[in-house]
Amino acid sequence: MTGIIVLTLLALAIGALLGAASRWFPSNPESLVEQIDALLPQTQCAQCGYPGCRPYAQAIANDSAPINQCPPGGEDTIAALASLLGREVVALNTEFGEEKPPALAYIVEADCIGCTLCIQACPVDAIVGSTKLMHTVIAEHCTGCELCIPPCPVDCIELRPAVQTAAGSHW
Amino acid sequence: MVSHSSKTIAKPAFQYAHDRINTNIVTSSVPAMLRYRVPPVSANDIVVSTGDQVQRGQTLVDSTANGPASLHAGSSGTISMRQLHSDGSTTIEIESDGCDTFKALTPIGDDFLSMSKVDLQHFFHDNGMVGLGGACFPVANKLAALNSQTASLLLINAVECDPAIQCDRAVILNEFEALARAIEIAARVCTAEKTVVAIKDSDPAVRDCLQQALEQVSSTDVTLQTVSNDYPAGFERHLFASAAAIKISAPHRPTRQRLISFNIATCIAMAHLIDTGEPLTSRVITVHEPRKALAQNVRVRLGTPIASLLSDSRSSLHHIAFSGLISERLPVDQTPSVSAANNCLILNPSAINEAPCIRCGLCADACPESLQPQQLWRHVQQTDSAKLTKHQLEGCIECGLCDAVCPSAIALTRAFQQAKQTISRQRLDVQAAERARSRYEAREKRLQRQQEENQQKLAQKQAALANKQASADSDPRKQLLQSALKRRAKKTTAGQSNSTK
Repeated sequence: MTGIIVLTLLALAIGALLGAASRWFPSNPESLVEQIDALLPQTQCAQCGYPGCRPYAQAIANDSAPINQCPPGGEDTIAALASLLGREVVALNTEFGEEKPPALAYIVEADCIGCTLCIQACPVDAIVGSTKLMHTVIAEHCTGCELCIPPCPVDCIELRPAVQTAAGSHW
Repeated sequence: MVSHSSKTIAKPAFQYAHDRINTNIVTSSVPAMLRYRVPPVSANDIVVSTGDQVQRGQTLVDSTANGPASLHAGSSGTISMRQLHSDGSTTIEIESDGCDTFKALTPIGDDFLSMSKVDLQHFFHDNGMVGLGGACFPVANKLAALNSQTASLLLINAVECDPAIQCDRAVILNEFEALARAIEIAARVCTAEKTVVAIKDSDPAVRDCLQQALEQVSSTDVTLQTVSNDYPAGFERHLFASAAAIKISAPHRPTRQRLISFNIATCIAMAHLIDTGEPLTSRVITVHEPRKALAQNVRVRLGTPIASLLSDSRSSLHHIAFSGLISERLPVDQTPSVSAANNCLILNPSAINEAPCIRCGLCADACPESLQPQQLWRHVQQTDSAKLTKHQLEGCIECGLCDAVCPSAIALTRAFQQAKQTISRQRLDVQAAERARSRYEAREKRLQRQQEENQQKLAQKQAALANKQASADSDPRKQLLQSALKRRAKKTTAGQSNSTK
């Protein structure tokens, strides 16, 4: 009898403590967004339908977007997100694009007319140039998001395969 | 129960016996085609183009300082180039014209003594001088790492511990007149306060040769040191410990402690370059061929396609190993050319059938770095970078001992090499993502600030306009005008209504 009373009291006390804790220390949704954002490739290509990686992370955290909308991240990112969020690994939704080998934008400088449209489109400020002056891509900063390609009026931007620093880099 | 002593195989039963390698050096004929693979980092440094006629020793790739050393034509002939792999590397091919003419050489001789340290580094860099011990590390970069300090100790590595390799031994025994000069030059180049030549204790012929050479060396404090022959005794870090009793902790290079080491063959090549002006275009390698009693030491031009080294070109090779124990098993149709990093070729080592890991632990006993290869292998299969890093994959010196003892014949070293590359690439990816994130955030902030500024300006302008309107309204003359206009408007409307009546 005493055992039952003691255990019931203990259960009530611990339950109350837990309830209070969850009220006083609410889980930090910001940190979840950060964690998701850290797993995204930061290409900022907007292929997922959100204006950047962080907005997509926000959407995943709010449960308003599935985890398979990031083509540059591909299977690796989906697997990482699935294990973080405890969800099932799903195949990449190819409506949003397909996984491609890493590439960098390259401006054919002879054809560039200096319109600055690509500079405005670049999400990571990786293009330098000025009005009526030749533009160029800073390869080190380019994420290969392809956002600079559609605005170019003379189609002088092309994608070139990114130089892999470590050769044969697969398991 | 298996006792521990029966488990340890410190010296695995190698199939390549010491006395089955010919000591003489055979000079291979110039192949009809020399082929060089240029990594993508050097793609912009290629100074020749298709159709060019080159002479032996002419620069093909003129790399920028601190990068890989420059590359030179191994023979005279016509250049053709093509893009090779998806990774962006380029292949330069020289179709030999059979004349093997040399470009004009300018030996610098003892002028190197008066050269500044930086000039000397440039000299080695421009002449493609790299370490011939197997790592292919550029000599110039090693000297640069000394930061213009004098080296407190120069260790000349003549140990050559891999049982399948005897190319250094062949060089020592056949080019012994060059040894004294080579040691002297190496000591002068890194301004060494002390020089130690390390050899293994089991080779009296090499010891005699070097002892004689050291007697002729007058200008520098140099001693001979024997070390035990257990593989991997010749690895730089191990050798500093055994030959000079200096401990170098794992990730650091010896140059941090003003220590430097060169392979004996590298020293001879350096001396050759200084005395003749001839850039590095050839090296000696040990070649094991199937169905041949003796392995040969062959002096080959760098860039020689491996297939052209075979005496029997029809032999069906399954695998080719590029070094002794550090073997990379490649099917024959994928074999590249000889590079400065090859010191041994084993053609057709017995066909390898990998079996699953039985976790016998032999590899852990064999590992000279006290790693747990069987554990690392498991994590490699699980592609678990975090665990691999935790279990010190970075500490693997890729000596190949685990491969040699593995009863399941698993290509562990190759797997570890690839895993290391993957992990370093992942690390770079993370860094790049971090950079992209911060740049994206900075841009977002800037755009927001610009928008706010624009709105502020607009608001100010609107306010100014409203003010102007208001002040105009309060002007007495304007008020008079307004009232006059109103009266007139009334009159006209009144007149119109009268006329309609």
